[in-house]
Amino acid sequence: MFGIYIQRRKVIRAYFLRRLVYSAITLFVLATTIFGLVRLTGDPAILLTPEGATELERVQIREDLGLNDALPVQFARFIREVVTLDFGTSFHLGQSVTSVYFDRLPNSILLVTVAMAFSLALGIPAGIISAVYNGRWMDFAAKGLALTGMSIPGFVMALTMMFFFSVKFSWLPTFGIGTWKHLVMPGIALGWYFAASTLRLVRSTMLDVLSSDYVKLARLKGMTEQRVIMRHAFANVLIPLISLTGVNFVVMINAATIVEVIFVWPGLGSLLLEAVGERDFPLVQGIVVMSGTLIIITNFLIDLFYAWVDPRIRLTR
Amino acid sequence: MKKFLALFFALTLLASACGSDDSSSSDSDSGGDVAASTSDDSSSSDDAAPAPTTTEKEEEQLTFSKGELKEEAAKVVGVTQVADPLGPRGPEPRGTLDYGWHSSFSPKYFDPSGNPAASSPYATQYIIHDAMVKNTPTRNFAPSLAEEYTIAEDFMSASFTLREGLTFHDGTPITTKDVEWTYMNYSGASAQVLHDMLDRIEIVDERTIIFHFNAPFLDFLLLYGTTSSGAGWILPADYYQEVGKEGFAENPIGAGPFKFVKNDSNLKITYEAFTDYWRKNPGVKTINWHAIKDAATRVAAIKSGEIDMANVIPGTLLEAVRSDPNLQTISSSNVSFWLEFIGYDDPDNPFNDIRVREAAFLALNRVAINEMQSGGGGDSVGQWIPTGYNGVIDLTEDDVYQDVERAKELMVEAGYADGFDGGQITPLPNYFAMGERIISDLNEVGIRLTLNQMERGAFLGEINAGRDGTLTGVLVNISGAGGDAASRVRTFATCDGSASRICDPFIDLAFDQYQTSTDPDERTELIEAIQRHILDQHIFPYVYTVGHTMVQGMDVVEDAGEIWGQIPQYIYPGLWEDIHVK
Repeated sequence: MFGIYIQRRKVIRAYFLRRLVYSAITLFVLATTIFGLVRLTGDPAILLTPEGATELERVQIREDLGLNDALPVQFARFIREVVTLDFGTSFHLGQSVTSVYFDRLPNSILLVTVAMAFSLALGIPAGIISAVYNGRWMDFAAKGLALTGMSIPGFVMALTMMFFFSVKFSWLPTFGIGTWKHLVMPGIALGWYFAASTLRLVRSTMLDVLSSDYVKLARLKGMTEQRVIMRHAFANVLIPLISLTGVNFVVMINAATIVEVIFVWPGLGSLLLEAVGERDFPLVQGIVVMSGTLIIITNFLIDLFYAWVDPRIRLTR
Repeated sequence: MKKFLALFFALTLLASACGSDDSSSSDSDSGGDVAASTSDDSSSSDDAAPAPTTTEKEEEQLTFSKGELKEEAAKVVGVTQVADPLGPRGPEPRGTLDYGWHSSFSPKYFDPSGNPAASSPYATQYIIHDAMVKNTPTRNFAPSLAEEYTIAEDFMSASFTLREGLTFHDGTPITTKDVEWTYMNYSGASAQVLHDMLDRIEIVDERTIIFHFNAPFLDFLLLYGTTSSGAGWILPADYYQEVGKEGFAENPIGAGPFKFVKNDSNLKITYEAFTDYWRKNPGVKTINWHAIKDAATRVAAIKSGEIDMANVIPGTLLEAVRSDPNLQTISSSNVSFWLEFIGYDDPDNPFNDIRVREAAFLALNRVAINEMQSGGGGDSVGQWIPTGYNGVIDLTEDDVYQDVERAKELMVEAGYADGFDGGQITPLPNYFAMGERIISDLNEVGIRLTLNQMERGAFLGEINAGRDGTLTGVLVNISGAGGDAASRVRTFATCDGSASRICDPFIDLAFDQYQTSTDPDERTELIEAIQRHILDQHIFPYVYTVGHTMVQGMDVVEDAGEIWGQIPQYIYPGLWEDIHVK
């Protein structure tokens, strides 16, 4: 018994270390890629110097920003910044990249959390109802909802809501952050598409499960339909749903850019967009690496959760 | 010494009160033709149209024919310019003004020491800082922090006297040491010439400072006293050196009518009235500056009343604000688009033929472009140097018009009866719809082009690369830099111009003479001759002048015409301390 326990701990530790090494390699590849890609976008000195500036002035700017150093030198400096989480100063903001990032990060997490909660709150019940009432009007209504969610672009949803809820009825603020009212429209605009994908996943998985033998057995044993659905059927939807939620979480952070710009939400998406447009190398690198690190950590934790839930997973390479 | 200065000051005041032709009385230049009618204090023009009431929803065209800034600059030479008498301080500030800015905000706007050649930073700086000399709605080159100043007749020196009792927002007195430090540490637009021309700075006492130049510096006031540079916007030397550039950007201190309170993620900046401001009590207690990049959001915000003023409503959304009886709109036209024929001096290039260039000029439907792009709020008559820039030749409808039939005739005369493929046309991002419009206009006369859409950074790189750039075909160029006609010629039309793609012997010869001349009349003639040459040769055919429509709600007491675009080469609201909310 004790031997099995030791064996199990060794397997878990090996799995943990394996995931950790893969995560570190992923982060390194990410950092190297963004370092190279951002330098392909062009010369930031052009955007930082006034119109009519001489080449001498641009050379001076490049010198001040360390862009005249050899690439290996710049790369070594960048890796040191990654390790110490000090990505220097933003070219166009003149502020510390790290402070700008962490100033915006909570706002992005808040928005994505609200959007995710909305997508799950709408998608899960709608998916269950659609599966349970398969072929009836409620199923068609849910499928229609999914179709509109996946067809209507987020910015169209955002502007339409803004027109009605802010301009027409003055129920909600048009833009900004500060109260729960500021979260409603951005949360819905961002979560709407993902509610649709959640609905479709829950529906299809539920349909598979509801036709399985053990569900039939549960019904034969006299369980109420509600108990059959929630206890037996839905439980099996959880694993793929968690996978999808994890993926959606990552995608949402990127998709939030448009919503952030429209609602003037101080998040990372709009910051990254601005940084790319300004060729702000430190800011782009900092955001991508730090956000990538968060995603890698998130995926790592999800992997550990899977391994804990399903032993078969941690025994595979 | 103090008694002598006091007597001198009194005599100067007396002399100024008796004088009649200095710039302080030239209110006629505070607006331009129609714009003069929007100013309540325009003592200028007896036949000006009556100012619109706040209940009128009229869109007015502002121009920057604030005139002949250079002429005015010339008028102040040799005559001590004295500040206008102060009015009453006014009641305590009250209310909150919410302002919707149209692009992203950078904390660098708080720091004039590195101002680019653009007007955007000055919108912040008119709030939080103050200058020795600055343009105001009622007076160009108005003494502001300076109580008086004198530009020597030989242009070899400029002396300034600070007002008494001035302080920064933290209570620190403003002294000539700050003035000197600000100038010496300035590194933004025009810094090179400001430093190169300076021989030394003489600090006479805590309030009097003299700039000595190593050669006649005719353009000193144009650079120091306008939005052409930030060198005259005074920073607290000790504080700045203590906190550094980054620290200053996080917590700026100035001498302006409002003080910085907080910056929320560069999306909302809050300012509070500085009740010790020398001029008066600001009208509002708080200004919330919101950086709202999306135009639709700005329109929604102003329609819902969440903001009181909004910048730059594009043509496609104008109807939404024009139809709203609770909003006032006002248009200001400033910078112009023009065409450049890259490589036109190559004999094999079709655009080498002046008839082809003239055909391109005549083909453009500027009225339609103006309507499409700016809802008619821009200008369809002008030239590549914006109206209102000193030294610019103003053109009329007799000079700028569309004549498609004549354009076709010219193409036939040039040997292109069947037209030709002109390659690509590259407009400024995101004016691609305008690019399509130009393609269609030129196609009608046989000049066939395809649209080249570039990313903004890449486009600016090409612009600044000048002749070293890789663009071919036609460029639709624009410049937001302040300055005057000469600075535009220097940058875009001389062989050595940093953003120039042309090399014309006439232009270079004339400009060389301009640079070495110290005779203002001769300089004016030379710059005008250069412009005539460019216009006659159709080197930079004019497209249209961009019109920016600004909107304000009814909570603002002042009429839109009293607030927007009243300061030369500056289209944003001003002066901020004069704005009140209901």
